[in-house]
This record gives sequence, structure tokens and C-alpha cells, in this order.
Amino acid sequence: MDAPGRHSSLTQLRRGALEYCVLALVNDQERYAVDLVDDLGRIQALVTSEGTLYPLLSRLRREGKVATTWRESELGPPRRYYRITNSGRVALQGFAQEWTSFRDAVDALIIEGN
Amino acid sequence: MTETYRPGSQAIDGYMGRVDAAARDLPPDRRIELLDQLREHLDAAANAPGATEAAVLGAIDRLGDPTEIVASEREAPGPTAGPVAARRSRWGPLEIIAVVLLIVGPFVAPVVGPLAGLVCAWLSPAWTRGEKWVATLLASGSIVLVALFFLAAFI
Repeated sequence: MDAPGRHSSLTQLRRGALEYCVLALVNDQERYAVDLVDDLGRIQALVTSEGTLYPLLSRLRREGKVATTWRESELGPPRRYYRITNSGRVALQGFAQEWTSFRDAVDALIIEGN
Repeated sequence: MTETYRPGSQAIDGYMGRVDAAARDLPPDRRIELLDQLREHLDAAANAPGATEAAVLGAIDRLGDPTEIVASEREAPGPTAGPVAARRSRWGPLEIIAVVLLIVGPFVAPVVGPLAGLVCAWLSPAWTRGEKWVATLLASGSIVLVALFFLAAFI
């Protein structure tokens, strides 16, 4: 079991990075919501409960970072697709730069220090 | 629409019922969107070619605890989380009609009046379940009183 402090700081870290991982996944092509959530859910270091990804997707939509489209499906009802918007792309690029320097700094202290 | 057998449909309904119950206090638009997304996710699992009960149960399990999902929706801010999503006024036309019918109803139209008031009260999106039950108990008290009055008058 994680110590409570460690657990919550990891949760915060994960939560902060997760939305950019979502943006990265829809950066190249629009994705069917269910596939997107399934794919992210397989990365256990990032996602503990797939269901919590839907509130995140809704928030990104309200913030204008992703947009949704409905597409007809041969297998059943219409499907919800997500794609990145210009503002989402700008946010992703900004985070990618910050993240690289953040990661390098932490690596330098934690990994190389050990 | 004809109802065809789909694996895990009972489990899906049960799970969606739990999400629905947990999501009662969300603003209506966000609640509906969340319920639609989760229902769509589980329907996709049930409609997948060769889907089994176990596969659907696995999909439900991976979605996770409904209260946790609703909690993350509740804390997710956003442009509509401000004044637009603020709690509705508790006194819309429906609520006012409900109170008038519940108070005056027994005298104007015994039984029918308060019953109509109760229907309005339960339809209200602004009142909580607890408040609706209080209204129901108070109104049934008045219905019982009126019934007793008539009973006494006729005996």
C-alpha cells in the first residue's frame, strides 16, 4: 500500500498530466470515445478508473480544447468522436515543452542522485 | 424497437442506476452528458461482435466506482461551472403551483387537489428527494384528515 502522502501527490501528478495525454491521443486523428477510453485505460500508470476519463473529456470539450462529432455506425447507434481544436493544440505544445524541462529536472535530482 | 438479447444488459442497467443515483446533484446538462457517455461505453461493449456477459462485467469493472466518477465530474471546473451551472432557483412556477395545490387543494378539490400538488412537487427538478418526501407525508396527512372528516360526517 502507498503511504497516504505519496499516494495523493502521485494522484495530483497523474491528474495534471492526464489531460495532455488525452490531447496527445487525439492530436493526429479524431478518435471514437470508447476506443480512446479503452486505450488510455490500458495504461495503468495513468488511469485507475476508466469512468473518470469521461468527466475529463467533457471538461476539455467545455474548455474548447477538443470538439465532438457524431458519426453513424454500422454496429449500432451513432458514435461520439473527439478531435483536438487549435486551442487544444496550443495547450498541448505548451505542456510538452514544460514537461520536458520538468522531467529532466526531476530525473537529474531523483535518478542521477541515486 | 424490438428488444433483442444483449449480454450483461441487466448488469448495465444496475450500474447505470447507481451512477444516476450518485449524479442527482449535478447540473442537469452535465449529468445527462455523463450518463450518455457511460451508457454509450457499456452499450459498445455489449454490442461488440462476440460479446459475452463476462466481457460486459469486465467493462463495468474497469469503468470503476460510480461515486468516484461522479466526484470527478463534480470537481471538474469549466466555463459552464460558473453562474450558468449555478443551482437553479428553488422557486419556479412548478414549485409555486405545488405549494398552492398542497395548501389550498384539500379545501377546493379534496384528494384530487393535493394529489395534483404532489405530482407537481415530484416533477420539480429543484427540490431534493427529502423535501419531496416531506411534502408527500404532509399532503397525505391532509388527505387522511379530509377522508376522516367525510367518514365522520356520513356515520
